[in-house]
Amino acid sequence: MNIEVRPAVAEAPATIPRRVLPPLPDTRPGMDLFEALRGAVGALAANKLRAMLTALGIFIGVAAVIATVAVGAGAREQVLRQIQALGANVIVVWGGSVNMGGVRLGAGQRQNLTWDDARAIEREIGAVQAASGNIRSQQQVIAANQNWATAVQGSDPEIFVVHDWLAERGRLFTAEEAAGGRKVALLGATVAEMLFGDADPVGQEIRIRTTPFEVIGVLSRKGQNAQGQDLDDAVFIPFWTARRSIMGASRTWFRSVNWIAVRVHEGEDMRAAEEELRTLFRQRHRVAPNEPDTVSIRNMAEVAATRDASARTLSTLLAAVAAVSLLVGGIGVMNIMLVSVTERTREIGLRLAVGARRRDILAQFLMEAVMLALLGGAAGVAAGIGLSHLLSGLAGWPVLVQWDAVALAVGVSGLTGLFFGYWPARRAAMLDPIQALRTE
Amino acid sequence: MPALIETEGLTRLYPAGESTVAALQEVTVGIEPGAFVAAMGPSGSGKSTFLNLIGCLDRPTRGTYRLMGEDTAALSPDRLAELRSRRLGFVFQSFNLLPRVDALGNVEMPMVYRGLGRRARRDRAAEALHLVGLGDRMHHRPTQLSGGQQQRVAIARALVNAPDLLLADEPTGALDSRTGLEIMALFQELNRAGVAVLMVTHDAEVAAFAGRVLRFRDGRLVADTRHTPREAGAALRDAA
Repeated sequence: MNIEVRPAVAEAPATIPRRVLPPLPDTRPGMDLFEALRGAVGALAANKLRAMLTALGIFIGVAAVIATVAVGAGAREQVLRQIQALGANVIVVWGGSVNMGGVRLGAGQRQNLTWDDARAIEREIGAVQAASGNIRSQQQVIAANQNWATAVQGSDPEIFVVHDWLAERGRLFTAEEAAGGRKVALLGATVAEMLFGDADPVGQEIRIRTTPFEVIGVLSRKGQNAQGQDLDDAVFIPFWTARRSIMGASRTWFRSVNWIAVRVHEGEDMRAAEEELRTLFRQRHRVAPNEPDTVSIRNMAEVAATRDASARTLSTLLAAVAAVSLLVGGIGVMNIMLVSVTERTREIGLRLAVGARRRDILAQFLMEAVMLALLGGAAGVAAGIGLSHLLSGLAGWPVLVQWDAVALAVGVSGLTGLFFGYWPARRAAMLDPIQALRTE
Repeated sequence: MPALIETEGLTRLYPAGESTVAALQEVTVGIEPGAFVAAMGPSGSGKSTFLNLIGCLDRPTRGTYRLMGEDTAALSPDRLAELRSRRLGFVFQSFNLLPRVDALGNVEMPMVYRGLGRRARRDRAAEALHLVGLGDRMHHRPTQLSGGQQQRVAIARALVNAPDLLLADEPTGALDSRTGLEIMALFQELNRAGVAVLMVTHDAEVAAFAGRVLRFRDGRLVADTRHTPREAGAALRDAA
């Protein structure tokens, strides 16, 4: 009602103007979400310390979820890389242990494996794709004016099949070169770097001890194994070349190998292959039924799988702990929202009196709870990513921040706010305005 | 022109253990648009219950209440909220301002629930504060304002939705007598400009500023008198 003041009040004080406000446009009633958001930010800003402490609960939960998931994923990736480095479907046979007057030396100490065993494995066991006998020793390797102490490994050309090794430069050695005992060498990436720097080593000459070798290739990089050993710090030469020129041995040990690496055909049962190997060696070594094995057989995939399983268990456990802390954080949000509703009872009564609908009040308090939780969630994501880098650095694992886990954590923290904020917000919305306005 | 307010046998009972307490009984009254009415009586007389019912904050146990011809008994809570927003403005004894918001923000608040944009709200809130003589105090918080100024902010807040009826619950109860006079002068000014006022008070001197007095006792309307209101502006000048 926009009515001009009657002239009778001309003597009214100057501070009182002459008319009331014009009617408002006919807008759709109700508060929009942006206003609810603004109100929530204002309410949280009015109690910064309290908001921060409450968000801390969610913060810890989310940071824990992200860090544990990232670390778990990193650990599994590590295991996966190990399997790849070893070659999947690989079984390694070591010599048995030695018992010298009661002192038992470890596996591989007994020189009871021969090059002929490797051939027998390929011949006798159908599931086997390739087998390579290997010997290895530490040698000084010289190229021009550089030298480097590294592992020199004599292997059959089958080793490339067993481990899926490829030449990054040059080529691998052939069966003819291996059989002919040719003095050809393949360098690991680290050795190539140490001896030749950036230059191409292919076609160059190196000397192992005093024997000259032609470098025919450089193997592609394999990285580290589980123990942190550099797999690229080695020189690979044909087995018989190694026996004749580098690691000469008496006639007794001439055909012996340190270990045999066996590749099983894709899709074959690893356990069955392992059993066949065991049986074969018991026959070849004429072991009586009640005697222990003379060789030690290790299935790398199995070892890796065990580790993978334990990594999984660990990350499930950690995720459960993280979920519990998120729950605790949610209860914290609920608690503080109840306090907030109690504190602002009069304000709620007032808002209802001036035309707020119950759903407006509900939206406002829900928004506040969700904001509170998201605040903790966002900070938790940042801390979680930082923490996973830190932990991965300490454990020497690759960092694998799972972005789906980050999205999930933020989503879950928002939902936590919604879930735990609903009851307090509903309490606020259901207040009796008359009672609320009377509250002190 | 339909009556602003029409009640018929308006009754509000509260359960109190086994029995019930009749806070308001059989009140039948009509208030015309643009009136200035005081509801008087001692505490417990039913005047506040009457105000709450008229303010759509409470529902009657029995009887009917029509606000500008609209029967409120059948309305949903959302529709009642809309009525409060469009037709009514509340002024309280203890001002009820939001402490962490400045005067402008306090006056803006009711318009949030009408879905009005921020710019429009701020402009109109500023206008309302000018109207009550606080154009130079817009960015002061309640704690930085005197009691009279706080009540003026509350009145600006009540006016901002352009209500047909201003409901005031002991609006001078927390103020000294001179400031109370100022507030009454403002009420009379607004009333002359067309806003109806229903004011609850226990103070006969304050009720004298209204043109009509409803007297309540034990939940019943016992007297309904009209008289020439006392001029608050003149009283202020006399006091000065």
